Amino acid sequence: MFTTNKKIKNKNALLGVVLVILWISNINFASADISKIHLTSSAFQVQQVSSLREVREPINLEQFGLEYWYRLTEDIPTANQLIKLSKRLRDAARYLGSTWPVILPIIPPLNGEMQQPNGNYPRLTITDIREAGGNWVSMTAGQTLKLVTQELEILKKSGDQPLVDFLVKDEVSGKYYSLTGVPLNRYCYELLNNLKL
Amino acid sequence: MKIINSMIKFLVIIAVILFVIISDVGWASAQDKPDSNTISYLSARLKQLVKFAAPSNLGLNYFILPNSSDLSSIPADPHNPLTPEKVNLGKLLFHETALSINPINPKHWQQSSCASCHFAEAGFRSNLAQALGVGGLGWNKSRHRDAEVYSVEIDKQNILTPSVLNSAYQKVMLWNGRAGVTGPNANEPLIQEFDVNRFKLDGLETQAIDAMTVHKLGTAAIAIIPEYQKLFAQAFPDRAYVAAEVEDLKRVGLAIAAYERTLLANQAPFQRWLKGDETAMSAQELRGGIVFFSSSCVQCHTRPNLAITDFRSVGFADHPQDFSGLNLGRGVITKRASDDFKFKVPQLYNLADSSPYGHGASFNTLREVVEYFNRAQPQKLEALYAGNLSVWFRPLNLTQQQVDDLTAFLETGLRDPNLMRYVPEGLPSGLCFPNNDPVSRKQLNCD
Repeated sequence: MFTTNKKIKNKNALLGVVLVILWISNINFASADISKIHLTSSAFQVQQVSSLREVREPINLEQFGLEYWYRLTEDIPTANQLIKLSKRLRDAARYLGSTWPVILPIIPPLNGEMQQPNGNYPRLTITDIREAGGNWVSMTAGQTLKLVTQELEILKKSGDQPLVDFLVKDEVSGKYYSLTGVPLNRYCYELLNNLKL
Repeated sequence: MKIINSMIKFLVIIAVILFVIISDVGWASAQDKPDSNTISYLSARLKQLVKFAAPSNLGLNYFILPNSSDLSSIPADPHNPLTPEKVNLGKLLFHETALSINPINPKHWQQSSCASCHFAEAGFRSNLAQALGVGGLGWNKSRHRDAEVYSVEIDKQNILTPSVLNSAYQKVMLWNGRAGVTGPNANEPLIQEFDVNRFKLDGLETQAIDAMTVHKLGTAAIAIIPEYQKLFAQAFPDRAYVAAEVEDLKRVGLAIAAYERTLLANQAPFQRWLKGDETAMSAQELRGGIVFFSSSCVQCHTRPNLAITDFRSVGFADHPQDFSGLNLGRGVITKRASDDFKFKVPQLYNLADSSPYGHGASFNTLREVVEYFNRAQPQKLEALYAGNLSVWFRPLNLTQQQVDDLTAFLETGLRDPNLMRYVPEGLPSGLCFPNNDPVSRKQLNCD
């Protein structure tokens, strides 16, 4: 009897270990897929307190040589690319939760890398989006998927590009600024580039 | 020559067959054509369709819900056999506000029960877009949040409360089906290992036990009531008492699940019609039934509770309180992209008793739901682009009359008018039920 129980216990323990390994390997797989997105867990907390957050005056990207963010991209993301992007976002939501933050860095065009923080350049990341009602909502996997879906619909109907207002965070000073009037396809393009899709 | 002979023979046979068919048609058309709007004609037509929808030769019986006292005919978990004593105990516990003893805010002590969000008058749903358990004030449509406490102190879900009516026919519970180890979860090793499934039971038992913790319930207060000691002894002879112990949370859950299995809408007009009462449904309800059983509705809404045990994506919007903006449904549970946006197919009885509709509470009336399926344009475009929409989610091309008829079938043909038979007259605790907050007490004349 004791031996049988022991066997069962060993079997259960083995099963448990296998499941843990599977679970971890699944997470690793998913993480690898979305590792190009700058993901932090702090944005979830930001969503909770976003209404309390002090938002500074609108930031002007032109002064940092980032004026191209206000223009429609020439390389308009294709439907296939957007579908790939939405798949990637759903993968993130499925494994990490739909509230998982998708924080996109604003990268200077020339060297393609994050600007090193110094006195002249802020290190900017897009953290929130302004809803139709005017509230700031964190850029979660779910919210980002909504934007990508909206862009897919616009492509299908050849509609006008909506201009989106974002909240950007200067990672150096920790201050938040509004960034207004970014064409939706620019955001999608930058996200695609960031993920190298 | 042989070939020509064979061909002639073949042509003669075809001619004979055609003659028989044509003469049959002629005979049929020569008969008095029945008025297509009479009860008898509509009833006969519906019978044909219902029989066709039933598997093998089960006929109308396939859709008949058993009598609630016929426990041997009600689907049950073998680990929780149904007994009248257990069902009776579960009936009381389901409505017992004395179980609500672990609220976050002490002012909500003993104010809510399972029936706060699943009450008979609402078809065992909540009649609210967002049901409120602990921390809710008022009854039925008037129930609202206690504005004096923090939001986190209120028991609320960001998804519509599903009905527990006819739940005996569901193997797994919750919209994403994470509760339960049988049915569609039987071959899901990951789901089998979820903590909620540690007891290895059917969904109904699993959820009822889990709800004890999730909804801040406990047995300490009922353990000192002599009547409950007696009822537990009758229901669970192997442990003939109730105490404030974890083991008894499980027993409360088992008793509640046993009671829930007996909640069957077996007095609905459609059920009476299935059992032979041809006048149970009006002409419009019968026409609606014909639309239902001759359209793709029945592909997902079949079996006695009119719901398959599987999951489907039909593009319903998410709940407005789901601030993540994305509910992947079954996909989150199975971790398969092919399951994204799929949700459990709900049963269809007594839907008219409660609104709104859809897992995301995105429809105010049943007619809106019917019109949605008639158009088949998804509310949630993310579901469309995920490519998982049900193959049956196609425009029904119904006329306005057919939409009216189908709505009537759903609203009244499938409405059991006597669900109050499942509600106890009083509780051993003597407390007000299903809610015991100050506002509800006044509304329910408990003071």
